[in-house]
Amino acid sequence: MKPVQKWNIIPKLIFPFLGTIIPLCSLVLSSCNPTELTARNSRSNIINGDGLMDGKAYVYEDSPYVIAGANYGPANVDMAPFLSREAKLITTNSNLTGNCSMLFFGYEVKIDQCIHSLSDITSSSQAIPRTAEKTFIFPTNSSEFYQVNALYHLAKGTETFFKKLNFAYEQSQQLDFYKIPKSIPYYLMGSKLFWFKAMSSTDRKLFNFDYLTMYAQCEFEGNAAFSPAGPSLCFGGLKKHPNFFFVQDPSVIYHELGHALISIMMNMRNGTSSSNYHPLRSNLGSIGYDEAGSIGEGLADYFSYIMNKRERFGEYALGVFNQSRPLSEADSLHSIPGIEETSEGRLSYPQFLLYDPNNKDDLFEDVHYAGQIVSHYLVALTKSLKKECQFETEKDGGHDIATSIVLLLVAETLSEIGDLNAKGIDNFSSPLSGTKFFTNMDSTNSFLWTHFNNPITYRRFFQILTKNINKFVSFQSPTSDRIGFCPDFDKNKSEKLLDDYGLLLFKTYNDNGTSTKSTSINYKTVIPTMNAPTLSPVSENNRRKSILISKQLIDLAVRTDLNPSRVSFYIIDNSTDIEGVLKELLYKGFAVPLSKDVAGTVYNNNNIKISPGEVVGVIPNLLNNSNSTMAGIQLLATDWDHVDISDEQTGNFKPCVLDNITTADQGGEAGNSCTSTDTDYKRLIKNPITNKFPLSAAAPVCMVLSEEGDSSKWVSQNDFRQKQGLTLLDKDCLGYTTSTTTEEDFSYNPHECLVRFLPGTNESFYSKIDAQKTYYESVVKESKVGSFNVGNVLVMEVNKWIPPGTKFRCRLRARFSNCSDCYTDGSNQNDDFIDSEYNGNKPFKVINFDFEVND
Amino acid sequence: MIKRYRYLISITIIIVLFITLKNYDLTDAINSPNATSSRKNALINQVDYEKLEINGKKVMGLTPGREKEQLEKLKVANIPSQNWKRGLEQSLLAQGGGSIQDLKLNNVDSFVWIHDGIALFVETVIVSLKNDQNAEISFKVLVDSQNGKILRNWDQPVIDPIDPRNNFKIKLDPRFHND
Repeated sequence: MKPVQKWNIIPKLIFPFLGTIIPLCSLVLSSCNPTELTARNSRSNIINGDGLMDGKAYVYEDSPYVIAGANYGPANVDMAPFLSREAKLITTNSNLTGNCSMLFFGYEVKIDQCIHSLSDITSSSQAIPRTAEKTFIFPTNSSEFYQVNALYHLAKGTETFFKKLNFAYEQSQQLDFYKIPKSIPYYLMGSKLFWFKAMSSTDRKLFNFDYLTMYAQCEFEGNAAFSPAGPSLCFGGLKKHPNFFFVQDPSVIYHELGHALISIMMNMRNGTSSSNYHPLRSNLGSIGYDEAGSIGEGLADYFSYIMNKRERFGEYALGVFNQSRPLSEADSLHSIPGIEETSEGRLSYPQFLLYDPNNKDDLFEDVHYAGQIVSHYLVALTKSLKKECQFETEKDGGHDIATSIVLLLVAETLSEIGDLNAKGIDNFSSPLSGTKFFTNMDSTNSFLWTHFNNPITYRRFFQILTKNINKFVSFQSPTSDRIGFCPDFDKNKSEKLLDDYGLLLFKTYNDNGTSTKSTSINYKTVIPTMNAPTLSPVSENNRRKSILISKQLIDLAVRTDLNPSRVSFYIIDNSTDIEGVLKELLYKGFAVPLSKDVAGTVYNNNNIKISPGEVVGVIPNLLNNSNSTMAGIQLLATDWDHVDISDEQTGNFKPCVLDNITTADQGGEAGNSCTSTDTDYKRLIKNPITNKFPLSAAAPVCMVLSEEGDSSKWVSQNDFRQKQGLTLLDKDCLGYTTSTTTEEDFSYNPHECLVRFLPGTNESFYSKIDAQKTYYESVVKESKVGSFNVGNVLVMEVNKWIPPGTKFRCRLRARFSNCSDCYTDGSNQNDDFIDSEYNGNKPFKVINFDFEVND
Repeated sequence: MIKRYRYLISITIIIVLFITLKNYDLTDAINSPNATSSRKNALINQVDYEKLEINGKKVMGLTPGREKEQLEKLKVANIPSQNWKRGLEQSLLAQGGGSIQDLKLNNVDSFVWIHDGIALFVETVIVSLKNDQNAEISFKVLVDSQNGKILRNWDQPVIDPIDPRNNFKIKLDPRFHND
């Protein structure tokens, strides 16, 4: 700093010369390791005891790409030239830990040492202390240096988040408690679920540690990651460039922190006090490709935009490998003509789902590419708010206020969608008690509903997000004193912007507050002071790009003369691939309860057919019979209400007649319990106390054909194993698990004794299917890799005791996000189906998977 | 002689019995293969209606507002056993196909879970393992406290690779389209 002062008094004439010499000198000086130089300079301060350098260090405010330009590569990286000229406060703590603090109407709630910065998992679990001079100045490029910088950026990110969440909380709570429903809970202050550290006495029941650990240089080749179970963040590197690390790019730190913040916002309602918490937590995304995961990536990219205002993410850490991502259509990374910030030029759904801007001709199904549609929409929304609400006159161009409003919308949306207590709203300041639920079915089955039966898709997410725009931003009414943030950004403008992105996938905002199990019960039934909820329709004039297709137009492909190479199902039964799939599932955190002794990959014979004892991968080749692109296709092989249970001693059933495939002649039942859907979800397993099966339950998807005299009937697998003289004991059934010979397995289902889709791999997802094409033709054949991803596969176990020639029918259920009749049947003002209806067939197209087991 | 010391013998027996019973592990009794089911039920059903607990374990899944009424009728089906850990370990190792380098199980919670109309003692476990890239990943599982059977898993890591094309892929078998 002293030399700068000297130069300041040099006559003006010398300035042009200095203009060249100063940057050169700075570069030379800084390349001699400025941290150490400045440390020497600053030492006198510390010795003087003025404390000015306490807790401080020199940091890189941005990545080498942003500071030094696009040509700075990953080889021989040296961060010295990029360090700040002034030391920045890292933390006031005496070691490398950060504190969290959030304001609630002026009342500060603190969580000390909520972040620990470490090097990697194998290093010491203790955060490093300050130097003897009380600073965090360590040699540049050292392990300690990166831990310091990572904490600096993470603390900056969390501070921004808490400010914005404070805004969201206060705005949400200021809505009339008695009249207007909202989801950010009042009790957030007491539960402390604004961070991972939850209720003090139960923290260790939810996480490994009650703080977020950040591993600045973790051993994870070519990856960065967020682990909610830690919770922890991990920033890896690359062996071929030993000086390159993800942590050198702050936008990547903000992105990973974004994933952590999503996890927080989704679970804000899942604990109310120190003794009341839901045992599970909500997550955004599953294995492989799905829309929930894509939303997660888009939101995390958007958090990087909140932090640095730039409309590109990962310029350095991903950019040096041609993988950085644009966040708006204005970014020059887009090289397809016509992509621009106009209604026609938006990065719309589903057209750009597989779009990699760096390799525009190589389509690829991945959550990061699909998530660009989400990030582009959110940035466009932010820009619209800046413009429409006259925020642009603010000092920062309205960035802070506009992003705060967007974060309020996201926080409200995620807290509703992730609510495992299944209420979605509160009763004034307290959790709503009683047996009426308003989101995610009920508190027992909420995990299953929000992750499988009514999962987070582009449709569900944007329907709730824009409902919140109507509530918080656009609202104005002649009968109310309340006014939204920006009535100029009205419902029409909101719908038009969403439609520009092809995301106006719903017909109403589903805002009539009906309960999950009855259309005649709504918010007002349980909280009489609430405004009478009404259903707000979408203006159909605003739907121009968002095309909806009937579920009747999705089916299995069949081989025809016109398409002789089409197949209905791809069967994977080679042991190497299946073992690879199982390992991949495990290494991504999906442990599946494999059956012992009665099935296993040792039986796999690689004849691309289904044989006794095998563990097979099944990929249905779905066909889009419409003239528009279908997107967000989900196929469920989970238990559902499709049978009439006739015997409570055995639980044996008749399949309901739902289509012309399984008829009454084949043992089907059209009356009895088949005329309605069970509003209480439970599996078809025996109650060990009463020794009886329920007479109404969700049954496994696969039935078996039983030859009975001259007729053949579809029956339950439990029925078949008794009727056909198989005499299979429970212990010889799939899924029967005990640790001793005398024990019973109480969660085992005898109706999936012979074949079953493994729990955790009984759902598959497909990004899109082009008009008149199959999934294979639209995605796999079109991509250069020509392969399936693990999210496309259903994994099925086949009992080794099945007699060859036995025929099975599995009734899978398909739907997709841009479906006109998968969420509403049009008979009730286009109101969405209530949650309990997702237990049946109404919202789905039933896809029959018929096969014969043979050696 | 015996008569003479009968009081002393009786007192000794009582003391020995008292010490034995005091050190008797309730869990061992429940887990013993010889324990009859009525004995098991008798030992299990220690209900705390205020804390909504059975045998000191919180009951999750009771209907709000009807907790006590439901708790009165509740019977837990399974019996906790230390075997759950071995069962879970075996299940994970089987799925990993011998490739797991390091496996850690951290039991973070233990409670009674009402699901599908059945009450089970369950454990929440954080599973940490080293994957094939030598990176440690963690996630949570809910397992049956008796046999370690996996009932749910959640909190999986979100992984951002430098190039998504490097993700695991399943090559299409050429036999499907060679016609």
